Amino acid sequence: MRWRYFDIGLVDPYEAMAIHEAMFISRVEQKSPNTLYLERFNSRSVFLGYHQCAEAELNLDYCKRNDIKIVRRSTGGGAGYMDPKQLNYAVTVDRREYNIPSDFVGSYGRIMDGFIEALKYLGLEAEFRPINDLVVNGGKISGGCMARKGTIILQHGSLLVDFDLNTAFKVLNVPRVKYESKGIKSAKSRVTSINRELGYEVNLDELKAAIKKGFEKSFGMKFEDSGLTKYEKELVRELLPKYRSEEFIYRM
Amino acid sequence: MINISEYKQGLYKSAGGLIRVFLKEREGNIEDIIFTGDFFIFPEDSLDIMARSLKDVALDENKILDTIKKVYLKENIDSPGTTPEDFASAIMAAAE
Repeated sequence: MRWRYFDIGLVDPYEAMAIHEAMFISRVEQKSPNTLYLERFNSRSVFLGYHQCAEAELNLDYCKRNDIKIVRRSTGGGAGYMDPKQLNYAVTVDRREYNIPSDFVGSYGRIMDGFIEALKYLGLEAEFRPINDLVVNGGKISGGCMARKGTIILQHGSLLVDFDLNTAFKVLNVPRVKYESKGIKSAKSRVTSINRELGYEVNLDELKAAIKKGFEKSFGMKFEDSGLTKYEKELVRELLPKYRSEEFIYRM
Repeated sequence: MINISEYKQGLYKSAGGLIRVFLKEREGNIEDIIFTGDFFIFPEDSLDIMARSLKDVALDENKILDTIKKVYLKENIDSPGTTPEDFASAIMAAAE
């Protein structure tokens, strides 16, 4: 079984959202293979979950003053601050081909197995913490979210490589109620990064190679390097205006 | 964008995420309600359906919960870690 591997490198965050949705639509229509896609944003950005209120969750003035792009996903979950150092991923897969559970947590955890294997190659022990966290030594190192249609899953998220927590906390309004219930004094102690856990700066190519190997092992398949299909590129062009529109970004 | 100054706001943390409810009430009933937050709910548009169904419902936790549970059944909602009770609690938090 072959999966597509596509590393786009640096990408505009709005275009990134359009690419994820394009790959999902095309996979749903059985026009594209199962895919692991990697990207980094070419600018500092904060992205909102589909259901989040922009004004309540973000420090909009700070974002505007500091040229931090505000992006909204088409998937649920929480806001995240991203800069070009973090590595984002998107996976599209048909659940039936790998006996991936149909429930959210079960399927999310199954995709995380690929990253758990990948991080082992770097010497890090990661575990899945439902609903949507990957943790190393108790700190969140990856978060993400999912779109589902029929048996097709789009799971996309981020691996924190060298996280700028101070800026993240200026950009995001993190309500106290969010972390008090977890019995931890500060939300900051709940987040970590690959570099922090390793104690040195990971080589990005090594990290990507580990992710490829981890997924190949976890799903028993081989990757084939490839780009977007012609159809996906057309979809990206169609979808991009939505992601760039104020109407969508500030839908609530 | 929601003009948040026009609404009462309620926060409630479920196991699946933070629910932030914006509520307008009129004579003890829900006039308008908007659910926001970082929880997951499938299908995505069922949240709007839930909000529409709650219009003009009395601000009574049992009546609200009944309405939400009906929408859950009808729309076959899957909201990992977040229950109809959690949404009802978030509304009551906004009404306080």
